[in-house]
Amino acid sequence: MIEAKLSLSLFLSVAKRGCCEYTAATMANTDPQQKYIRNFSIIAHIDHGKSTLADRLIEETGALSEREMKKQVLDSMDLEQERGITIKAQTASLDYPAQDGEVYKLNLIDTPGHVDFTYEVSRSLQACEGALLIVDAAQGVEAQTLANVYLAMENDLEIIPVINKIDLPSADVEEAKRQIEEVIGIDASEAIAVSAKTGQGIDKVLEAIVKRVPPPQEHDDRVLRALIVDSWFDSYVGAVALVRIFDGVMKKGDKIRLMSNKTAYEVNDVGVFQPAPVSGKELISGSVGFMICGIKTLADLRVGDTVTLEREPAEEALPGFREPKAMVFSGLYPVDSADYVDLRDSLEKLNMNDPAFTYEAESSTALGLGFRCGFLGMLHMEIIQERLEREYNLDLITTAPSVVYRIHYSDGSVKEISNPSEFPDPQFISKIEEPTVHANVFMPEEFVGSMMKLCQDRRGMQEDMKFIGQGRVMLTYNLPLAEMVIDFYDKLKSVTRGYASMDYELAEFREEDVIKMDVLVHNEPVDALSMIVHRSLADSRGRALVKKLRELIPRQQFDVPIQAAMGGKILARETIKAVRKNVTAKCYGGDISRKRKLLEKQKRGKKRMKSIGSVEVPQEAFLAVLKLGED
Amino acid sequence: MPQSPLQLYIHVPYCIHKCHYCDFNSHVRTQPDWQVYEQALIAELDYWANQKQFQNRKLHSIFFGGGTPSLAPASLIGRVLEHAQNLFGFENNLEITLEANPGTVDMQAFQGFYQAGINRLSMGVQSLNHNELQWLERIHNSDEVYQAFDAARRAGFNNINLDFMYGLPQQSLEQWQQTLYAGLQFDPEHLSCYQLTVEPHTKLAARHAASPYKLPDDETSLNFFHQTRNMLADAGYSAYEISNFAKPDQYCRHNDGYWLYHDYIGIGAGASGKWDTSNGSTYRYSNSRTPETYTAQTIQKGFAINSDETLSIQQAAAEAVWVGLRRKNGIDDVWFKQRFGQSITDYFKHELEPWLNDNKLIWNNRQLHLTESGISLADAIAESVIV
Repeated sequence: MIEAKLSLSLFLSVAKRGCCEYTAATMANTDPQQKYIRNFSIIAHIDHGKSTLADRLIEETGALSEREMKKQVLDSMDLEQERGITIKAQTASLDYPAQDGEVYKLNLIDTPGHVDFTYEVSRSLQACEGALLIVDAAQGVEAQTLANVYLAMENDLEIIPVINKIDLPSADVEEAKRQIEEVIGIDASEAIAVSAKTGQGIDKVLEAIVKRVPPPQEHDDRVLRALIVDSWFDSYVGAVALVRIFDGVMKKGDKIRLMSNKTAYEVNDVGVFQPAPVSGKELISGSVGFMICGIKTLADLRVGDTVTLEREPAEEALPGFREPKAMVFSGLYPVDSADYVDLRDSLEKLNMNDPAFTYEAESSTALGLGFRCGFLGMLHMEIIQERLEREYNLDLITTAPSVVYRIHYSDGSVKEISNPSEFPDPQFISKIEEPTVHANVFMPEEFVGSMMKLCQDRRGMQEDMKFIGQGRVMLTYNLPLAEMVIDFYDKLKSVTRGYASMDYELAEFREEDVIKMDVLVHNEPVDALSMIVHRSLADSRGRALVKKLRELIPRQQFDVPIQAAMGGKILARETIKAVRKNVTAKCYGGDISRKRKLLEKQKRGKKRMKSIGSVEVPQEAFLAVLKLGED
Repeated sequence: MPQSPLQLYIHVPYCIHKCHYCDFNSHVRTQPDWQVYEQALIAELDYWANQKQFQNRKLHSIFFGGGTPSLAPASLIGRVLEHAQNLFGFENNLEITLEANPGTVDMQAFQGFYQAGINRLSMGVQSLNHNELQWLERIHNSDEVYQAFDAARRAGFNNINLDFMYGLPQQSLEQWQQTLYAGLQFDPEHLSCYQLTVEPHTKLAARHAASPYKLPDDETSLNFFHQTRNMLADAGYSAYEISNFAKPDQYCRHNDGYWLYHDYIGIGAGASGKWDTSNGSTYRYSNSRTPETYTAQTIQKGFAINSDETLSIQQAAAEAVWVGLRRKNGIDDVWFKQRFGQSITDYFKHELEPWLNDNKLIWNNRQLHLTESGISLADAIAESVIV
C-alpha cells in the first residue's frame, strides 16, 4: 500500500521556498568534499522532455563525447525506449565547472516515470536534496507532474521549476509559470526557461543546481547508513545497487549488513557512474554511487533498504523502507503445457531482475499449470508479460487482471483473495471490501462531461473538480481499482481523444457488493474466464463479454454456446455457429505437398490455441474483458 | 512392404492465355519449342527408368496435364508414349488421359491424339454460360465446347471428362444448375466440379484483394456442394471423390491413384513425383517450373528437381489418411496396416476417435471413409491427423 497519501490542503497550500544560495564559497563550515556535491532528480510528466534534458546535461558537462552519446542515454531498455518511459532508474555523476571557479559533482538520479513505480520514485527522491521540475511550456502542468512533485515536497527537496520546450511556437512560459504556482503551489518566479532540444538555457539549469540545491550534510564520522536507491542484475557481477550514502563512508572490502534482513556481505567494488561505471576506493557521505558485493539475487538487495556495517551496525534504518506490494494480479499460462518448466525458469530469472513482481504456481482446469503473478500495476504487468514473450520467447496466455479483495467471513475471519477462483460461496461471506484509488485527471474543459460519465460508469465517486486555467480542468475521483485495471486508461484516452492525463494513488478499501461471474463455453465453466464484478454491472458486463467471446473464438465443427452466469442464473448467452464447410475443392498430384503445408500451417495456428473441452480458444479470448465495446 | 502401382504424369506447361484464377504451372509462349520440350521429356523418362526404385515396374496409368497439353503435336504425344512403353512397359488396359482445351482442338487433332494412344480426354469446360466464361477469361465459348465434344466422340473417344467450376462471384444456384444440366446433355463418362478457390499469387487473388468479389458464404457454398452431388447422383454419377463424379466404373484411375497413395513419376516443367522408400518414408519432388529452365537442366543432366522433401513414416501416414479420405470408399485398412504397421484408427486413435463418435467417419467393410456430413469437413478432419 502506498502511504504517500496527500491531503487536498497540501494541494492548495503554496509552499513558498526561499532561494538561498549554496555555493561552496558560502558554505565555509562544511567539509570541502561534500560541499561540491549536488544530488538531484528530474521530475516530469511523460513526454515533457525529462530524458532529453538529462542527455543535454550529460553532454554539456562532457561526461560522454558526442560519439558516445546515444540518444536518451538514460532510457536503456528497449521496452523503455519504445514506450518512451524510464522504468529502472540510472544515474550519472557529472563534473561541472561552475561560474564560481569550482568543479562540482552533480549526481543526477534518474527516476522511473510511471504511476506504477511511485515507491521507486520516492526512494530516488529521498536520495536527493533537490529536483528539477520540468513543465512543458506548451502543455502546462499534467497529472504526473503533480504526483511526483508532491513526493519531492514530502522529501523536503529544493524544487527548481524548469519550463521546457520554449522553442515550440505554442510555448507559453508565463502560463506554465502561473500553473506551477496555482496548481502545484510553488514559487515559479525564478523558473528557468529552456529548450532541451536546442540546448537553450541549459547553462542556467546547471548553475541553478549548484546555487539552489543544498549540498548533502556531512556525516563521514558517523556509522555507515546508505540507502539502496535502485538495484539491478548484471550477468557478470551479480546484483548491483545504486546507493546514496547518508552517514559514514563505504569502503571497498567493508563487511556490510542489509538492515531489512540482517544478511552480511563483503563490498567487492564501489564507484560512480559517469555514466559508465568507474570504480573507486570508497563512497563518502553525501555521495551517490554503485555497490557490488556478490549478491546473487535481487530479492536480497531491495530498493529502500539501508546498508550499514556488519561490525558496527547503525541502530536505526533510514526511513521509508517497505516491501513492494503487488496490487494487480493475473494468471500466466504457457500455451503449450510442455513449456511450463520454461515459464517457471523464465519467471525465476526475470524475478532476479525485478523482485517487485510475485509469482506462485497455480492450476486452472481450463489452462492447466501456470502461475498467479502479482504486479505493482497495469503497466508493470504489461512490461513483465512482454519481456517474457520477447526475451524468453514464450507463448503465453494471460488471464484478465484482477485485484485483491478482502473477504470478511460470517465467522469473523478475514482473507485476501486475488483470484476469482478463490471466491467463496456467498453464504459464508459477511462483507467484501475492494481497493480503491484516488485518481487525478487533467483534461480540456470540453471533455469533462464524458469523463465524468466514464468515472460514474466505473463506480467512481467525485471528490473534487478544479478549473486550472487555459480551459483545463482537474477531476479527482475515488475509483475502485478493479475498474481501473479493466481498460480504464484506454477508455479515458478515447473519451478525451488523448487530451487527458491521469495519475492515481492507492486509497482505502471500500465495502462493495461484488459477486463472482462465471463464463461457460460449450456448457463447461471456464475458470480462467471467471471474474469478480459489482452486482450492478453483472448484467451488462456479462452481455458484453459473451458477445466479445463470440467474436474471438473461431467457429468450430459444432455450435458452441457461450454463457455468462452468476450462481446458477444465466445472465447472457451467445452461440458460435458451427463451421459448415471446410474442404479443399481440388487436390491431386502436384498439389499435395503444397496443400499439406497449408494444413500444417492451419494446425500450427490451432496449436497456439487452448483446448477447452473440445473447443479451441485463442489466447486473446482470455483477455476479452479488456476489449469490451461500450458496456 | 508391397510396391504400389506406378503412374506417370507428364506436364505440358504452355497456354495461349493464362486465366486469372489459374495457379497451375502454365506459361504463355507464342511458339513453344516442341522439339526441345520433347527432347527433355525423353531425357527425363530415361533418367527415371534407370532409378533403382522403378525397376521392373510397369506403368498403371498416364496423364498429360497442363498448361494445355492439347496444344502439343499428336506426334510428340505418340513418341513420348512409345518411349515410356519401351522403358517401363504398360499394364493391360492402361488409362492414358490428355487434358484438352475446347478452344484449341479440332477433329483432326482429336484423331491424332487418339491414334497416338490417348484413350481418355479431360476437357476444361468450366462453364457453359457466356458471361461466366468471359469472367473466367476462358479462350473458348460454349459453342466451341459442343463442337469439340462432338469431334472427340467422332474421333473415337468413349471416356471423356468435363471440368466445371462453380461458386463464381454473383453466381446463383440456378445459373450453376443450368450449366450442369447442359453439361449432362453431353452424356460424359465423368465430371469434375470444383468450387472456385481464390489461390494466392494469382491475378484473381490480386483483384480480389483490391476490390473483393462477392463469393458465396459457407451456407451458400455448402448448398452448391450438396445440390451438385444430388443432381449428379440422380443422373447416375457416383461421387467417388469430393469433386469427382463418374458413371459406374468410369472413374479416373490416374487421379484415384494419387488418393490411394500410389507412387508416381512426374516429368515436365513443374511436375511432381512421389514414391515410398524401402524404409517406409515417402519422398516427394517437384521440377523447375519455368519451361526453359526445365528443358535446359533436363537435357544437361537428365532431371530438373527444384525442391524435394522426405516425409517421416508418421507424416506419410497422416498424408495417406488425408488424401485417402477424399475417396468415397475411403482407405483400405488392410493396405494401411501393411504400409504403416497398424490399423488406421489405432495409428490415429486420439485424432480420429472424436470424428468417429461424431459420425463424421465410419467403418464399412474394413474401409474407413467419411460420412455424408463428414465430407464437407474433410479438411478439418485431415488437419487433425496432420503432424
